Parts: sequence; structure tokens; C-alpha cells
Amino acid sequence: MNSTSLHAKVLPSLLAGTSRNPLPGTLIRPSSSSSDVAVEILSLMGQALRFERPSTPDSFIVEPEIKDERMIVADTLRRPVIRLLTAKNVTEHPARALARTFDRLRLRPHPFDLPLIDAFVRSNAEKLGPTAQHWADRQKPDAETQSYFDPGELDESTWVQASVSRRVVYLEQRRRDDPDDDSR
Amino acid sequence: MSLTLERIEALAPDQASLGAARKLLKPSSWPTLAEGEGLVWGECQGSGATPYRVVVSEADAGYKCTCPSRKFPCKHALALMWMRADRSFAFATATVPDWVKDWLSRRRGKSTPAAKTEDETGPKPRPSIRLTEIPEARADADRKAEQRAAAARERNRLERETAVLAGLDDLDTWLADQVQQGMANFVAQAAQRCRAIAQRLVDAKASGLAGRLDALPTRLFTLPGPAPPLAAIRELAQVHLISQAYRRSLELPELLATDARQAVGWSVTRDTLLNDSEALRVAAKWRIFAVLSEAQPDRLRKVETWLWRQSSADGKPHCAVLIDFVPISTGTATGGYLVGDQIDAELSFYRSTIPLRAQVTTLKRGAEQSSEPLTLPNEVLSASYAEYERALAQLPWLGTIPLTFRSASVRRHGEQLYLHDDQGPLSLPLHTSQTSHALPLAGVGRVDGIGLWNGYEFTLAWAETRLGRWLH
Repeated sequence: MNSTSLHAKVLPSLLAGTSRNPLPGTLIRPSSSSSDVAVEILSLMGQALRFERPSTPDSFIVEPEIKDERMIVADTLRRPVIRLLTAKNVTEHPARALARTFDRLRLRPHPFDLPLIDAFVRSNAEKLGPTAQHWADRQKPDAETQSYFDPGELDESTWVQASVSRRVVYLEQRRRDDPDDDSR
Repeated sequence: MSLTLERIEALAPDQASLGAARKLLKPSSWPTLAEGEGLVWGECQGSGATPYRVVVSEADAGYKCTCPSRKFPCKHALALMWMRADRSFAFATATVPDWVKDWLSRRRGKSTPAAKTEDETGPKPRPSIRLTEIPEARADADRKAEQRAAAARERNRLERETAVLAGLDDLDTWLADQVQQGMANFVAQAAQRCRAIAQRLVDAKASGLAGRLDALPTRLFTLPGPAPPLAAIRELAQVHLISQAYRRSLELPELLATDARQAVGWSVTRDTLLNDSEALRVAAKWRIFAVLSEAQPDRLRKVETWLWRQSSADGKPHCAVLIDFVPISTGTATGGYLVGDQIDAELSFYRSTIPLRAQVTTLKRGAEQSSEPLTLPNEVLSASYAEYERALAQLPWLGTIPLTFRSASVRRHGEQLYLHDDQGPLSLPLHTSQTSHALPLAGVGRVDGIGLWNGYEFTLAWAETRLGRWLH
């Protein structure tokens, strides 16, 4: 008996229970007179499953290429930065100062550190460069992105009805698109 | 203020701690003893699999030790202070290592001596170093007493064998019941059913099987979608195989029979292993590539320190794991080593068909942080996975095993991350706990590295990428 026939003949019985869905007779001979054939079949099926390779998805997401010309922060600074931003009882002042410094020096956090300083990246994404912004956008929780009453697409007539975080993003986007407009 | 013997007496929690510390006053127990910047630190080989790291600040006698002792300071910290105060031990001048810097940066400030409470019966006697000098009574072993003890041990062993076999009979009946009722049903009630049989197996002194079954519901719970019933079949199948192998151990190769006994619950103590002249020993440079910890139902935390052999030793295992168990209540979540540390040590491997678990026999050189890459074999993930399958054929209840890979990539399918072999049709799902942490690896291109495969999920531990090193 091979793995395919085990799947077809045995698996339904093991899942539903042999009391409801009895195993087909004379599948295997018990290894000893005292052993239970059903348990031995369970053992065989289990081992066959262990040798099955994990299934590979048909397709994977193609990751976007983000053009980020900022320099990655030096390796020697990575640990102190993480420690500073994840320390207990830390106020938001050092985080803001750090974000401003990153912006002024055209630096960006190391991509591998983004999950570790996630809260900092979300709050200061616009000062940390396109990679960090992409991270912050991708990591937005569903509840934050939209509620039932939120307008779908924001424009000048609907932006006031959106949540505060969406309003902030909208205004920042508008400022970036048209920096000369003083109305905002 | 320098360390003095009087100060150490004042710090010692009790006389027993001082007595225990005295036994550690020998350089052979301390492969590393160093000083610098007002600190002394060292590594002490204790009863755990990994040496304990101890650091003491000379200025204020502040201390930190990685041992799980609930006494503060522990015997290791006291011994280090004592050796420093004694001035007859050589401390190498060295730059302060990262783990000491880490402790310094987390200190709240200089310690103040805790107010000692005295109960109604009056003050407790102060611990004294002088008292530890009283030579221990070394009564010659009474041969008859030793024979009686050996006979008692043999009697206990036979009683335990009988109890284990009776427990395995119960287990067979229980397994037959589960098969009758079906795995879909089993998954829904796994917690109660596994708890009941685990308790019976504990009574039958088959603690290994009991632990395996106790942990099963949690494992099933963490698996997504339709996986739990199939996983239940796999796990119960292994339990049955272990039970059968234990009963038929005389028919099996010696190492497989040993594996079966260990899986049932016959443990091998550290001393037994170190005294076993036939145990596999490998002296080499080892790199720590992963430190994992997991809380167990028995209120112990299992800390696994995974090592990769950096220097050549033909035909010897490339990988080893040091396993420590510490009480959850101590709050210790890591072993003595950090990922990236390198040690020069001889390891003794527990006997097994697939030797992985080991103990440090001798530590020639203590842990040092190293920036060198791992010396990984030139194998793609599929080749490494094929080795796993060969190992699985040899040891059917094989647990977690390291897999190395070259030129793989991390890819996303929905929220799930996969380690994909770009040269073969194999994708291993990454552990769900790594979904966020490993996400930046998606899109960085080819990665080389190592991780741990438990048959369900791959825990990525170490990856060399074009953006530098990524660590778990």
C-alpha cells in the first residue's frame, strides 16, 4: 500500500472515527497478536504524513521595489537606537528628536530593525524615508485603515469625515504633492 | 570600595551559600575570569548545560548571575567575589564583553544593602567564611551500605520497568479509543483527553511520554485551519511507535533502543553522561546560532541553546543543542550564551541514533562575540531537507532538527511567510511568531542561513543577506 491509497482508504476513517467509518478489512497484518490493527494503521498513516513534504503555494506575492536613497544607519548605532526606543517608561521626546535627526541627516533605519521599532516607525514614518513609510502603510491594522462609516476615497469634500490617522496621512500627502498651497 | 571577605560574609544569604561558594574556588571551574573597568566577570560550569555567566561590580558589590538560583547573591556570585577578595586568583585584563555591558546599561543604580529581617526567635546567625573551613566529614563508604544502596536502586529500576509497561498498556487502550472516536473529535477535546492519560503516565513513571502528550493540545491549537486533525494523527502515531519500540527494545539497534527509553522517560544524568567513556565527544569551535525558550506545562522553562560547529571534525555532528530547564518563576528566559557567541569546547553527546543533545565537557575558551559568518555547507534547502528525511527514517519520532540553506528566499503568500528554495520545489512555512520579525527579509533576495524545522514550521534563526545579518 502506498501513501495515496492510505490517504484514500484510511484517512477518512481515522478522521471520522473507526466506530462511524470502519477501516477496510485486511489492510495490514497486525505485528503481534496483542496489538490493535487500527492503532497500527494510525501509526503507519502518521508516519506517512510525516514524510509528505509541505505544500508549496501556487504563487507568491511580488514584493515592490522601493527606491530609497537615504543611507542606512550605521551598524554600531542600531542597538543603541533600538534600546533607546524600546526602553521602559520612555517618553516620546527622544523618539521625535531621533526622527528629526534621521530626517536631517537623510538616514533611515535598517530594514531588519523596522519590526523592533514598529511604534516609532508608525508615528514618524514621514521622517524616516520611503522604506519606513512603506512598512508603516503595510503594517496598518485593519481597524485603523477603515471603519464602516469611513469614506472610501478621501478628497477635499470627504477628508473631515475620516479617522484622525487617515486625515493626518491625507494632509501630509497633499502637502507633499503641492507644497506651495498655504490653505493646509 | 574593594571587595573584602567581611563584605562577602555580610552579603551572603546563609551559611550554606558560603559553603557552596567555597567549593567553586578553583580555577578549573572558571574557564573565564577577567576584569576591567571596575568589574570582574567569569563563566562558571555549573549543573546546567551552559556555563553560568557572573559579573560583579567591585565598587558597590552589585552582581548578576545567569543561574536560576533563588538565593541572592548565588554561590557563583559569592565565589567570584571571594576569588577577587582573596587576590590569589589570576584575572585576565580584558575589554568588557557585550553581555556585561548589557547588564551595566540595565542597572538601576548602585545597590544598597537590604534591610535584613529578623523573626521573633531572634537574629539569624551571620554566615561566616571561617565556618566553611571546617573540613567536611569524609566517612569512608561503607561497602555493605553501598551494596544495599545498589540493591535498592536495582529493585527500584525493576519496579519502574513494571510500572512503565503497565502504563504503556493503558496508553494502548487509550490510543485505540481515540482511533474509534476519530481525530476530528479528538482535536475538539484534546486538552481533557491528553491531561487524563498524561497523569496516568506520570503515575506509571513514563514522564517523557506524559510530557509529550501534555504538550500536544497546545501544539494542535497553534496550527492553522485543517492541520490539527492531521497533526493529531502524526503525533499519536509517534507516541504509539515509541511505546512499541520500548517494548521491543531488545530487537532494535542499541542506539534506537536508547532513544526509545529516553523518549519514554528514562533520563540520563549529566554525571552519567560525563562518566560514559564511550559517549561521543567532539572538541571544536562552536557558534551559538539560536537560543529558544519555551514554557512547559510543568512550570519549567525549557531553554535550548543551539550550536553550530565552526571547525572541522570529519564525520562528527555539525550541530548540538544544550538544554536547560529553569523554573518559570525565576524569570530567566535565556541561557548563558547569546546568539553569535563562539566557544571553544568539547561537547559530550547523549547517545542517540541522531546525536544532537549534548553537554559541555570542557570549556577551553569562554564565549566571545564574533562577527564571522557561519561555516555553512554548500547545500540548498532541498538537499538539507533530504537529509532530514533520512534522519526521520532512522529515528521515526525525531523532533526539531537544524536545516541549513544556500540561495533561498523568503516569500509571502497572504500573511504567511515561506522559506523558498529557488533551486528546488520546496517551500517551508515560517513559524507564525516570525511573521512580523522576518517580514523585512521578503524582498531582499537570496539568503544563506540556518533554522530549525519541527516537521510543521521552520524557525529561521540566522540569515546572511545583502543587507547584512538577520538574527532570530
